[in-house]
Amino acid sequence: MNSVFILCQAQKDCHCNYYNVSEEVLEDKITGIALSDENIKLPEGEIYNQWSRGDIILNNGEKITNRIIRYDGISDQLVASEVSENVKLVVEKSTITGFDIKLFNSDSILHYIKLTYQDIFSSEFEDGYAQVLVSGKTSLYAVRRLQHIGATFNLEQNYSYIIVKEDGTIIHFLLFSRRYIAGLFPEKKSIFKSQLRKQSNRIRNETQLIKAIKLFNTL
Amino acid sequence: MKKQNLNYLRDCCMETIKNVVFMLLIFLLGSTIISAKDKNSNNDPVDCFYTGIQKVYLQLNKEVYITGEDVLFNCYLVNAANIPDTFCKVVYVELASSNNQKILGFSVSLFKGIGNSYFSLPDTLTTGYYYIKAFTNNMRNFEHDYYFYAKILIANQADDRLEKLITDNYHNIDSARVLFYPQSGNLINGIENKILLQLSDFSEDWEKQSVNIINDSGKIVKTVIPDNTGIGTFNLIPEKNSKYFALWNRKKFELPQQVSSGFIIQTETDGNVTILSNSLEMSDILNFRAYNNGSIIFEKKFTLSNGSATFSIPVENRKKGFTIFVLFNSYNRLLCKNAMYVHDDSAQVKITSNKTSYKTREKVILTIDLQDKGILKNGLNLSLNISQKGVYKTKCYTSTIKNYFCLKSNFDKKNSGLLESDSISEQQINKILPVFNFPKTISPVCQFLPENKGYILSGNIFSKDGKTVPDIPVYLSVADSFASFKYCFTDSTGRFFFRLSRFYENKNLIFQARGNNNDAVKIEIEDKYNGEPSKHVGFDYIPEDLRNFIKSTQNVVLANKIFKPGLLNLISDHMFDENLYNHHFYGATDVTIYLSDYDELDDFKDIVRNILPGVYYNRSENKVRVIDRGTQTLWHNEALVLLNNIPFPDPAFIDKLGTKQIKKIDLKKNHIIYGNIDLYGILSITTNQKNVYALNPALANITIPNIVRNVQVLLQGPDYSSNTSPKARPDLRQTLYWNPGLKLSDDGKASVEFYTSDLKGNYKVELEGISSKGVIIYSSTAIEVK
Repeated sequence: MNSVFILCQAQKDCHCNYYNVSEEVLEDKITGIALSDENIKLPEGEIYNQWSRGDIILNNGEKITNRIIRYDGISDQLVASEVSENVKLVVEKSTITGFDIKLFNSDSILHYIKLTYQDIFSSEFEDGYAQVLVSGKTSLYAVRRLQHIGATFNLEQNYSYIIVKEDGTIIHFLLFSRRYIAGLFPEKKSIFKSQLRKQSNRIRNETQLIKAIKLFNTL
Repeated sequence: MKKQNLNYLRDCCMETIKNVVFMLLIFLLGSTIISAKDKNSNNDPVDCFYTGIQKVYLQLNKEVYITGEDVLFNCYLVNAANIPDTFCKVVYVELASSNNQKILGFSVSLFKGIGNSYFSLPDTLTTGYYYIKAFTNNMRNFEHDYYFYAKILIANQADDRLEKLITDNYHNIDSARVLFYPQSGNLINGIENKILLQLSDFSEDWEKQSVNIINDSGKIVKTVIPDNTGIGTFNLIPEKNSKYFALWNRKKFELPQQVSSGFIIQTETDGNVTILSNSLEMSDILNFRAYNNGSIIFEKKFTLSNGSATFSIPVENRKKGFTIFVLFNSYNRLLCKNAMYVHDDSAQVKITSNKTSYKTREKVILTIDLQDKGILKNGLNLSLNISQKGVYKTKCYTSTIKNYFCLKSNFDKKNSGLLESDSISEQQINKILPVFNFPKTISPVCQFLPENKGYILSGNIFSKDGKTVPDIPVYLSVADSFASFKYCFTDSTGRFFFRLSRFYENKNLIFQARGNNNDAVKIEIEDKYNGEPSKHVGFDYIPEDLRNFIKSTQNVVLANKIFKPGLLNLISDHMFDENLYNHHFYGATDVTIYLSDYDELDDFKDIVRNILPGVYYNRSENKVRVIDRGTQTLWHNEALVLLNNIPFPDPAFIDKLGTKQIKKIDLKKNHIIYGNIDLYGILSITTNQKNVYALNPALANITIPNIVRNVQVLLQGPDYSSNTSPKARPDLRQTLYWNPGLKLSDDGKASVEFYTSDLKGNYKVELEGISSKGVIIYSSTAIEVK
């Protein structure tokens, strides 16, 4: 017998459907700064060039579901579109812990969380969004930022990566190799390296990096 | 000729190929149809069953209390199959007087259907019987038969009611009812129906009274003598167009309406199943299935002969716990259903103590051994209570988990005392009480929402002339270090709803509303605790032996209050992460100004003019506007002003605030969208003095406390292993040990150690629990302190 709450016959006679009140009335609200359209850049790139549907996860764990959102990689902000009012807003970063966004023209869902990490160049700590690539004892995230090339309006991808170790240490890096990644885990360096060699796992791109971290989590 | 033969052969081949293809298509189509039908016939009808029933049980540490004492409780919320209800997250507990006046009420958060905490009895209660009620918001939609009621005796040392002997001549007859549960749901005329009746709101004086079943001409057709739990069964063949009534206690109660045709499933503990019907479909091939724990344990196809069929479920197929029986026809249409509960006696726990008799302040070691280790795999919640038991014939009606969940009746008067170690008689344990029917609704509209994500608070807005006001915003805020701000627009009936997260626990909730065109409105918050009929009679008879016990207990409680011998260990709620609620609803601020950094200024206008950049304050209109950071122009609309994180403060009060009163001001200058309301800047004033908020009198407002008991309690008592404990301090604890979250090791064992108190007497050791599969655990033993 299923212990999930199922409507009893008496409730069916009630003509009620779990709630007489729409769930929207009861859900928490998102807050953000209203923008005019000119402030929103439309950078090229697969996850940036279209609005998409997604869920926003508030600090208290509540999820605001099925909103039209997009991630702005230049300013590292989540932008939500309120279609009915035709207003766009930058969701207040301090009020959310992350978001899930559906990849345009695909069924994949990208999970983003908000992390506090040290900037590679300035060494200042900042809150930023990072895409979850591997979740486990050791987690891997990708910071998908965009930057202008020189003084032009062209944009280039400026991806960097974050590893969060089991003890909570956060390591933010740009370039990587097999030697570098193995060196991040001194306590299991030799066994990690030998496993990587066994599987001929070079770490030269993101896919290989993901595979390596997943392998490490099995050690 | 050859050419003609070739053409003929070609045509024949084509024809053959066509036929073969056609046959193939038919075959494929046919097999699709067949497999679809098989798929349908395998459809699990269990999903169509309703498990909307919820039952609540509270385990209390005692049943006789003195005013000012703490009541420790452990709460279980289960569905009809006794499986912990993981859907609803909130249970309401109410302490009410014997005439149903609410004394105090609070909510308890549940985790996987279990919750525990404590509450203190007010010192001002008069001596008498009181009820502790428990219910969920969803249960309020239905008749209150599944509300939990425990009757406790509370004595007040300061009043003299204990000395008076009050005879029990007060019976609340009006609330007494007879409830009927026809087997398989409906009364079907022309065939023998088995009907269960339950007496509600009765006293033990009435148990000997029989219930007469009469027809509409007044002729007695049956006489039923309910047992001491108020339950009885009788068989009836209703005649067409006849009405039937139950005569009890000089009142008439009508039996349910009959239907002209249908099916009945009758089940017995020995596995015999009888199907009866007068329906036209009775000549069809019928399909009978029995489900237990989601899987089919027995299935049979058969036809009725002269409207009946009897068969038996083999012994090896019969299971304990909750079994659902379904009958449907050859087209898979559900004809009727029934259910049966058989208590699982294998889930026994053995409690052994190292001795039976102890001295005062001696160590007690209890070993707990679960007989069936398989239960541990699915999760088990156990609660251990060791409290003094008095030698008295009490009239309190606290129950044990076993006789509460395993029997339909809430009360079992024979087992209300603490004298018997196993408080259920064998007859009652083995008594099969089929859940014949589910309670009817009392209103056509489902008013009260199941709280699966948090507390739902609702209310209404009324205009001056008492009419409901639709489509106006109601604001909710609390005075806290972080600004929280919820709003809800009233619906067409003037009703509003808020779902409260854990952040709102034990805080004063401030509601504000303004009518359209600034009309005056009134806010009414729905009180969840009111409205239930009195469950039991309100007699106040206290026998002499109970009075003597209370007198001795009063001295004990007084001594405990003075000397406080290491009482409750309060365990904070590990599930509540305060860090989730550490931000303002509007996010980060743009500007924060600390007024202590500036020269003294007398009023708010001076502060705005001299210190606050980009803020415009119109004193005559009492409006604050801010400059948009982006365009550097003043917003046309006024900003939201918060005083100590409460919105819409009294402008006259704000006007008088100077740098001496204000600690800091936070400013947010952007156009903010919160949900679907626009805020053109936010000005948040925090005063030096805490808890200062002056609400705008132009808005309707109401403040209510949100009392939630979530602090868990563990009572182990002091450690007397070393000799440093001062013997001059008496330890007269009546509850020696209370642990609502007892954990067993992987081998199903646990060892519990504690020290006895200075209070000599007999102590009852009671272990109650429930597994995630709905297996009820109960075990008890006794120890003596000499």
